[in-house]
Amino acid sequence: MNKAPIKYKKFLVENVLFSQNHEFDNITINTLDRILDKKAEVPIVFACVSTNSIAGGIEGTIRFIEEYIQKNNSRLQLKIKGSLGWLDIEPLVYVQLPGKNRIVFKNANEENIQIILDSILNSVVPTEFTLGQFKLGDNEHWENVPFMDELDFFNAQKRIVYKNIGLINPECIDEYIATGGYVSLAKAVSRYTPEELCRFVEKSELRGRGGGGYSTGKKWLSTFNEISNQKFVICNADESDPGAFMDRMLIENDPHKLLEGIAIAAYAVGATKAYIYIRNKYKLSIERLEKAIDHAHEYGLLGHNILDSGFNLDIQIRKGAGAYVCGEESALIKSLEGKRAMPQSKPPYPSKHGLHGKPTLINNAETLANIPVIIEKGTDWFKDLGVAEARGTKTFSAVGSCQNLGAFEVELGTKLKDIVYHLLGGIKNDKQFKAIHLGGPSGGIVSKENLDTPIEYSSLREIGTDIGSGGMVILDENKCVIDFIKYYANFLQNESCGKCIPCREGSRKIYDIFYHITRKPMSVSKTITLERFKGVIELEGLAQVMKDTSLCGLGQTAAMPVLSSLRWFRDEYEEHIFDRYCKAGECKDLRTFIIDVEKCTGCTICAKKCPEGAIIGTQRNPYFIVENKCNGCGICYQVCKFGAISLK
Amino acid sequence: MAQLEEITQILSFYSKGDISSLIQVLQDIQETNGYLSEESILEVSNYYKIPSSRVYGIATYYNQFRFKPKAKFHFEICNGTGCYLENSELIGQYIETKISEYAKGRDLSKLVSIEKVPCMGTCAFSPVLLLNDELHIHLTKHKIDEIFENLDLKVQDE
Repeated sequence: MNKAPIKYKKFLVENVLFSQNHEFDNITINTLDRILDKKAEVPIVFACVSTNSIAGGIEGTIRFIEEYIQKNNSRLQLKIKGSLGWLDIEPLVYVQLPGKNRIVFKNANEENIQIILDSILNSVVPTEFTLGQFKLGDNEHWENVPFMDELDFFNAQKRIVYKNIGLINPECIDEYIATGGYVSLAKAVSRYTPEELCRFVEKSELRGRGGGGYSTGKKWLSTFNEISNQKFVICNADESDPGAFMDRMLIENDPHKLLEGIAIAAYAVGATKAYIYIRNKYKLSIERLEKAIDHAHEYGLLGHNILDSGFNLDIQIRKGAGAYVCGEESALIKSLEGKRAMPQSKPPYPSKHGLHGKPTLINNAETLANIPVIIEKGTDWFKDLGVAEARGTKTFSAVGSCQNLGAFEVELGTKLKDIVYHLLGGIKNDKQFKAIHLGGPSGGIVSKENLDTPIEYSSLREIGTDIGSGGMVILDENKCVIDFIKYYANFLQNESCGKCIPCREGSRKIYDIFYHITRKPMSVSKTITLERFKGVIELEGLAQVMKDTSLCGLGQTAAMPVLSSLRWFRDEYEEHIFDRYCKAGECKDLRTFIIDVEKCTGCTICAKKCPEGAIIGTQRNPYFIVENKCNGCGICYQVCKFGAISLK
Repeated sequence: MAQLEEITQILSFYSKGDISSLIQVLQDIQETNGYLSEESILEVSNYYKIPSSRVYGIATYYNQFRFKPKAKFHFEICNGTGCYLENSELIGQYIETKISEYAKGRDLSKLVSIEKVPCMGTCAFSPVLLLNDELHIHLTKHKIDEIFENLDLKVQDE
């Protein structure tokens, strides 16, 4: 299954990639449809394999299907697809019966797959597992099954970068080419000069998707204009923002799109060597990228004399060793050179003095994946998407308290409200929406009043947050904003590289302040109380100094979560500081526990375990917690076998 | 000694003059040995003819590298945003309490180790835990109790 499929190589290269106007005759179209399994001759079941679905148990499902085929001597075929991006319903399988539309089943783990297969192979739709159906050519529709593009999660999306995810097999280059892949590369190397390409991208007004939002075309042009015997392209896929996974989604499920983007970029700036700097934790992504690079070499789409154009490119994968600061381009270059990843002051920009001192183009993975479609459909088409100053689409990943978790792609300018309540299906367990955090540790958190804001660079900056790389976290009413910001403060003080003082000391100081406002006074010493208040008063000033004086983006934006939360959730800060009370009960050191006298049997286990000796009572009678002594560690809550201890 | 041979073999893939492959070398060594031992760092610095302090400085800078072997039961608790919001911290705390319950004052550091790791990318199933490369999802206190029942911590007494 994993071998490079060369069955269609000659056909695809000659008839598709080398075709003059890319208008195909019926025979070609039929073959392309056959590659994409649009018309099934035998029943086919597709399993969606991704990191997330493996965690959900897709491997067991695949094993079961293989056994099922053997046992029943069935004509059923098993094929692999990528993930659709909607994570909490995984593992997914699609089933396609001859002449019928492809139908999607959710939660298809080892236990449920038998029911699904047994009923669908007898043309009965098992409704409890059915998600929807794909419209495929002139196949017959299933009755009473919604179309996939009518589901809330999908109909609010505009998929350009994610066009293929879940629909093709990420390990099969044929399927990618059959969907129109690598045609843009063929077009670029045969019809455009490098400079024309740079101007073309500049005209499309595409902006970098990694967080900075700098014009991609300008970056390309300045790298192109440098004269050097060697230039490099680096694709930044080191997604170390915790809880963000939109680039992983792309690379894992459509690696060829990224390769195509890199190849076009390298041709445009005149580079012959490219690196993909990817997180070492992304094992499946790396595996699939390696495979994709091998297959592309085999098809003559990478390597020497690409598509007879005389252009050479070698792409290598470098695994990041885990440092958040590598998102900053000069630090990333240091890491690729085998040094400690510390940012440098700019200028000189990497376009002048980059990897090994040579001109280097660094783009985020998503930015590069936008390139093929811009070349395919033109700048005018791209400029119609989004709003002024922010063209095109952006991928996001959502985690937290929303109903639908996953990665999705929307047009820039979409309102936050539509995303939260429509696409993500609102808040789960009938709770109320409280806050949304955008952009990871260098983004900001905003409250309910701001949900009318469109997602676009300038209006988000106005309310104190940022698109950043695209990580989205949704908090419900039972989550504590202070605790959440403390998590990022801790993350940043760990990840600060230590080169410049404002960031190194400032991030540490911010965490200290948060630490102090989220715990009860442990000693009666007055200086500690004084320090605590001093810290709180200076918090805003400190955040401002960091913003103004830090060397790189990490330090400059490190205070964003703090400033934005102070702006929108000031009352919550006040509650923590003055009343020493956390309404949500999330700040562990501010908690107080109480014992339910009805349930307590007096077994003494909590009293024995309490490190502060705060639990008193007599054996076989209900115990009590002395509030002033309790430090909120929660050990009693964990050891109680009768569930008698709860949060006050 | 077997370790040294492996290291020499890894190093033979990389050119002596090209220092930019240093991180890749360290990653490869960690992949085969599970950690970076003192000897391996000395060996690498010898190979590239750079001070061992520099190799060590680079290795300690990155989160990925560890300098002690993993214990027999290695708990990796995901500390990504998704898991944090689903109380992965409490889960970590609970595992620690469980371990100290089993330890009864003994030193179990060779047997059990806990590590907080950055996001593993399985946010839909949070909180998650990787125990010796086996993934446990949707953790609850009850599930951790079950995991501990299946660990043979007691046999390893002496």
